[in-house]
Amino acid sequence: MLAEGGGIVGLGRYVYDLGTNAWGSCFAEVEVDMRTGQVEVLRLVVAHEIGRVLYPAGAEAQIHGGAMQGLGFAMTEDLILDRESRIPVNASYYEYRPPTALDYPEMVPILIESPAKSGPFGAKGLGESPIMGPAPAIGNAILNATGVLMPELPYSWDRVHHALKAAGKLATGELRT
Amino acid sequence: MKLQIDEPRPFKLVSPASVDDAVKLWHDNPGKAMYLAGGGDVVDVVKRHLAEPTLLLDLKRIPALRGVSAKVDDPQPSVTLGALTTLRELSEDTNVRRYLPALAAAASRVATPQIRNVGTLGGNLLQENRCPYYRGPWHCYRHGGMHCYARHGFHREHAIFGGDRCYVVSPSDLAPVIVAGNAIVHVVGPKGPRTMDAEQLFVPASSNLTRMHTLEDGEVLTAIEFRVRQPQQPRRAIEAGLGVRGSVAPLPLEERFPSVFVKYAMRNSFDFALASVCIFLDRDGRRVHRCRIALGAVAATPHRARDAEQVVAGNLLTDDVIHEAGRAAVHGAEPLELNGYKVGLVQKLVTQALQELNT
Repeated sequence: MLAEGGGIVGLGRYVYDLGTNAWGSCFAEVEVDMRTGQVEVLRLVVAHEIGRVLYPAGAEAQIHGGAMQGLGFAMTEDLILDRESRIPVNASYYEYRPPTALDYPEMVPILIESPAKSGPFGAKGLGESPIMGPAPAIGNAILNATGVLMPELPYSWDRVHHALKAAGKLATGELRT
Repeated sequence: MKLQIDEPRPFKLVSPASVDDAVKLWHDNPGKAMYLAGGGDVVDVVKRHLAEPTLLLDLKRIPALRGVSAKVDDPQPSVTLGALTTLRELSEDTNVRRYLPALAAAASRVATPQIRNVGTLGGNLLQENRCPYYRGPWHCYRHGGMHCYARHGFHREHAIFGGDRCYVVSPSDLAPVIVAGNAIVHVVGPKGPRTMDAEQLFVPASSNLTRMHTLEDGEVLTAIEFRVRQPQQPRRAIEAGLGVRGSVAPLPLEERFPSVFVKYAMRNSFDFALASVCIFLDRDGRRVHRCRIALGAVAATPHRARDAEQVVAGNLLTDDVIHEAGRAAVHGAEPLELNGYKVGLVQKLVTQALQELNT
């Protein structure tokens, strides 16, 4: 129709190359206090396949930063609404509780190189992807440690305590070392 | 007058040169003035309009309120801390670290280095509670309302002991230290100076819901004094007189009266305690004569774990005694729906603190 009317028509084609995707995985080691529900993340191993690594220090820093954001997402950060009024009860940076420098677990970033054809110099993107890994990894680590699957993020003390109690796994006696 | 969010009402800032000047200024402006120390809490309270003073009296320019003085060679040894001493000074002072390690530890666990540089001992003890309903747009009991919104709302960080209509907790990390240390609180007010025991500084929910401390209008907290309340001579003299061991050299103060502070929070920095514990002992070697245990952030006041104290007093700190004390520390706990984890946490804290004292 447009061509008949004298318009300009262009025809393009795009085939999505799966090789452009950056892939990643995350492994978490946690310690769960069976009396209180406190979960301490001891170690995060974060591996990312990002094509040709152009700037290793920058890429590792990206993983550090992303994994820490993911850690906050997994453990403490939550927008909490009052049940009745639906007004936020933690509308401040203190109460939202993003993790601090002293909450840093041992972090092991791993960069895997496999140059991609589609990117410049074989590079792929590494932006937000390290944020995704920690929450499911920590959730599965808690499952592995306690046998209890956490149904909801974040894995805060009260929620883990509640889940352990519901599963009958809460330790009530003393824990001797 | 139209105010922006978080904008305080206009106030005048005055810096009196002495405590008497400050008290007089307060007396001349009744109901309008507020004392300002580090400002960490007062500024927030003023910005949220929880209080609306027209005059702020800055106590930081009063040199007499600052500093640590230790009289360790007196017959009744004491360490006195000015109320305007910053938390950083407390955590770094040699005498505090040596004779009151619990106080140094507690001061170093408050908030962040920036806040510890300005935050003061007195300000930390007298700060308002952190209940989000109290600080938010809810008209709760503490504001003169007829309802506690936290009770059936969000109360993850609320009290497990002594909740009575209101379930706020004492947010201070230093409060359990002065209660466990049986410190003396020095106060100056319009009616002159007075002193009280540390425990009397705090108000349980059952007695008054509108205040967190017992300072009367216009009173300034001037100093906290830790003193060896009973001379350690007589018992020694008896032993020496009976010739049990000949003349025994008295233990150094820091070994006779050890103390420890442990705090757990959701984050390792920049966070108020979910629960904390401070323990002061009076002991010879492993035998404990007296013991005072105060828990922070589990009640509206620092909560004395008296049952646990009785388990420890008079005993050797064996593993059995330590675990028994941990169990006794949670006697009478009444957790709400979301703060049940605090029961296990208190048990863990008391056990851990006693184990630290044992090493």
